[in-house]
Formats: sequence, structure tokens, C-alpha cells
Amino acid sequence: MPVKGIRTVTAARNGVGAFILQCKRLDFHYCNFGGSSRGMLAFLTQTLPRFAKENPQIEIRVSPRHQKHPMIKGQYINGNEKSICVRNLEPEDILKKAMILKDASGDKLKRTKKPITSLNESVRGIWSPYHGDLRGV
Amino acid sequence: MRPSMRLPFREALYVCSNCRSEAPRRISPLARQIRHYASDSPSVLERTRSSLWKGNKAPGPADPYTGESQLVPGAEKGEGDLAAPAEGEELQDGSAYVQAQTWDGLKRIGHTKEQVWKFNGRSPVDEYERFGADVTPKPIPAAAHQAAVEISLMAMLGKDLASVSEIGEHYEQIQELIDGCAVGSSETQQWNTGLRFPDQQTMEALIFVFNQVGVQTEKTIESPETFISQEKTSAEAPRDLSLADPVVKFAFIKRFSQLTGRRIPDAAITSSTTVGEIIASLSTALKEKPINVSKKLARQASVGALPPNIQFSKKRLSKGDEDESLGRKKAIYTELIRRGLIVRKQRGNKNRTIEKATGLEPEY
Repeated sequence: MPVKGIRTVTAARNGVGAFILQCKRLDFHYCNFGGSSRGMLAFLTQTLPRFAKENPQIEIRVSPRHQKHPMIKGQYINGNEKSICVRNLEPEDILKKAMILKDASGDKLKRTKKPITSLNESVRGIWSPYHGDLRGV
Repeated sequence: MRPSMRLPFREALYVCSNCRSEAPRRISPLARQIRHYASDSPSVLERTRSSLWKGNKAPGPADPYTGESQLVPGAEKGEGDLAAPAEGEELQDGSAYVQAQTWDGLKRIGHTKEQVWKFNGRSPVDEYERFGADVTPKPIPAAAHQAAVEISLMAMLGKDLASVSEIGEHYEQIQELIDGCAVGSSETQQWNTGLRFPDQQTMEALIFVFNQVGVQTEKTIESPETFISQEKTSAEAPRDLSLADPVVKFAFIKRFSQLTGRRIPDAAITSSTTVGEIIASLSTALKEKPINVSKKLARQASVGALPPNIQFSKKRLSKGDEDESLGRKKAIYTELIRRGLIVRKQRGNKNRTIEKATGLEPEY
């Protein structure tokens, strides 16, 4: 039986074929009386309906937290949670923060040390001590 | 050893025996003074009294203010309520004496007669209602016009101006009649001649109504035709109406404040001399009320302006809400009840069927 090589297929990656948004829920917390929530109150009553309409795949929950600064919390499908404090921010800035949470993958932030990052395998393959020529010292 | 330098010898907490024997005997300043004047000069009390009364006419040892002391034995015996009964008196009245079981009916000390209401507790008449609570707040121009008309009417009738505030809110028909009147701006100094009625009937009706305010009178107006205006009356109070007279000013501001439901600042009251200045002092914007987000969102949801992926709540979301949304709340509470860690409530609020945990440790 002839050996048959495995046919290379496209690696399963988010966005290839289908894209699944990683953010599944956004929680908006505000205080009705706190001065730092002024921008948040305006955002919730004016901007949020449009934002929610543009992102129907995200569940949005609005709930008060008295005597606390306003906050946006993002829940991701990998189980992680990210939160951003939006105290004293204007509605436009709060929208930017909400977009950051919406676009985030949910992974922890990592420092990139190498100039190039890729998911592709190396052409040379992984080095193995059991393969290749024997070299004398 | 030298005596302590920090404290006077007399006040030092500890002084060694050496210092004690060496130190001269100290005499207090008061004792020295008493010894100094002890000979034939007047006593300390006499000298203090004469210095207090600034002269030689000191009133003597008797108390010049309250007369004879009540503590003097034998004074006013039997007259005062608090006077002790004579010895044996109790025994004589012993036949009618009944020992009290409670303090009801006994004489009390420690409060005056006016304070008895405190002990009787709260009654419906003690309830407080703020000034102007019985009046629906009106816009500033309408309130100023009404106050001006009413005070002009009271001035025409020669009645107490401030008693207008007793009225509160008028019946609708009378309110319409008041709205139809106007206060002329030409007679700025005279409130009793500035009022203009649209017709004779209105004038008679309003005079009849305002005769009933405060002390009832039957005063009629002489030469009523001068108060009837043929032109169409304005529904606004002229801004140059004078408030120079303090009686008019007080009555106007009281009624105006009652009708608008707003407090007028003291500075505005003091500095204003016309109606226009009072109105201007109220033109500052009121403090903005905070936005109630849940109410606004509920209103938007009721008209279908909210997309379905928005949920909002009036109260803070708790861990129980999180459990409920994940579908595990029922399982948790069932297990807690089975282990006897929480007790189900028999009666009460439907939403709160669970009581607090009993504090027992769970069985694992």
C-alpha cells in the first residue's frame, strides 16, 4: 500500500471561514449620583442603544453600583474577564473603551519580544537530536 | 540636693527628704492674704462683696436677688407643693392612703406644663406639612401676576395683606377671574389703586371672595367704575411694581414663594425693591436632577427603541443574580435547604422566600 502524504489543509483559525467574536458580554456599571458617572449616564442613555444595535452578538447588561466609579466589564468565551474603569470620561471616550473590550480576544496581554510572530510552522522543521548527521568532536 | 527646678516645690510629686527639710515652709497666697487681713480689717467676704458692688453700699450677706432662700428651715411651711409634710402628718392621713402602683396621676417634676404633650406622644395635629405643600407650583410669571392681583385686592379692601397666604389654592372659577385681572404699572407706588378688573361682575365676585379671607368684612368699593378697564388686560405683573413698603414686600414674597413652591434667597429679598428684581432672582437655573438611567431605558424599551440584547436592572446585581442567570441558583438553594443550612420562610414577601443562613457548617 503506497504511503500517502497528508494533504495540507487550511489551519482552523478564527476569521478563516467564520469569525466568532470572542467577547460574549459587556457589563456597564454606573452610579446615579456620583460625579464621575456623568459621562457614563449620558453614554448609557444616548450612545448605548446604537452600540448594542451594531453588535447584536454581544449581550449587554446595565446595572447600578452606588458610590462606585463607573466601569465596563467584558466577559469572553475563554472564561476570562476584563474590566476598564471609565470614571470622569466623556461618552466618546467611553465608546472607545467599549470598542477595546469588544475587540479584545480575552487572552492575557503578552509582551512581544520577537520582531515577527507567526502561527505557521517553520520550513526547516523542529530540530531533533536523533536525526541528521553525526558529528565528531 | 537642690530642690526640683521644673516644678514648684509644693507641686512636685516627689521630693527627697533632704530637700524637704531644707526648703522653707511655703504658705499659699490665699492663706497669706487671710493672715494679712486677719486683724481689725473687714473679712475677705466683706471686701470681695464691696469690690463687686463698687462702693461702700454693699447689700450685706442677704441674697439681694431671690429673697429669702427656700432652703431655710421652716420657711413657708405647708404653702408650697414641694414642702415636706410635718412629722406624723403621713400617719394621720394613713386611712385614706393608697400606695401607687404606677406613676399615672402622681405629681411630676422635671418638666413644665407646656411640655406635657411630649409625654402624651404623637398625635395627628403634630404632623408637619411644609409651607406651600397644599399649592401646585406655578410658573414664575403666573405666580407673580396672581400674587400681585391678590395683594392689590387685599390693599383695596384694607385688610391684612399677609393673610392672602391662608387661601392656598383657589377654585378653578375664581382662578379664572383672577387671571382676567391686571395690575396697572402706572400706579407703581399705590397697590390699592392699581388693580383693573375686566368687568363689573368679576369685580363684585372677587371682592366678595376676598372679603371672606382673614377677618370677614363687608367692605364695598367707592366709585367702582374707575377699577374697570375697557382694554384687554395683561396676564403678567408689571415688573416695576414697587416693593418699597415692607408690609407689601413681606406679603408679596410670602405669597409668591407659596405659589411657585420655591424658596427665595435672603439676599434677593433684601436687595429687591420691585417685583421685577424678585423675578430676576429666581431666573437662575435650578440644580440639575441626576439622570435615572433605569427609568430612561425603561421608557425607551416601552417604545421599542432598545435592541433586544440590552438588559438593565434597577438594583445592583448580586451573586445570587449571577447564579440565577447561569441556572444554578435553584440547585444551590435546594441543596442548602436539604442540609438544613437555610430555612424556608412560611409567610411574607413572595420574592424573599429564603431566610438568612443559620450559620451551621455544611456537611461534607
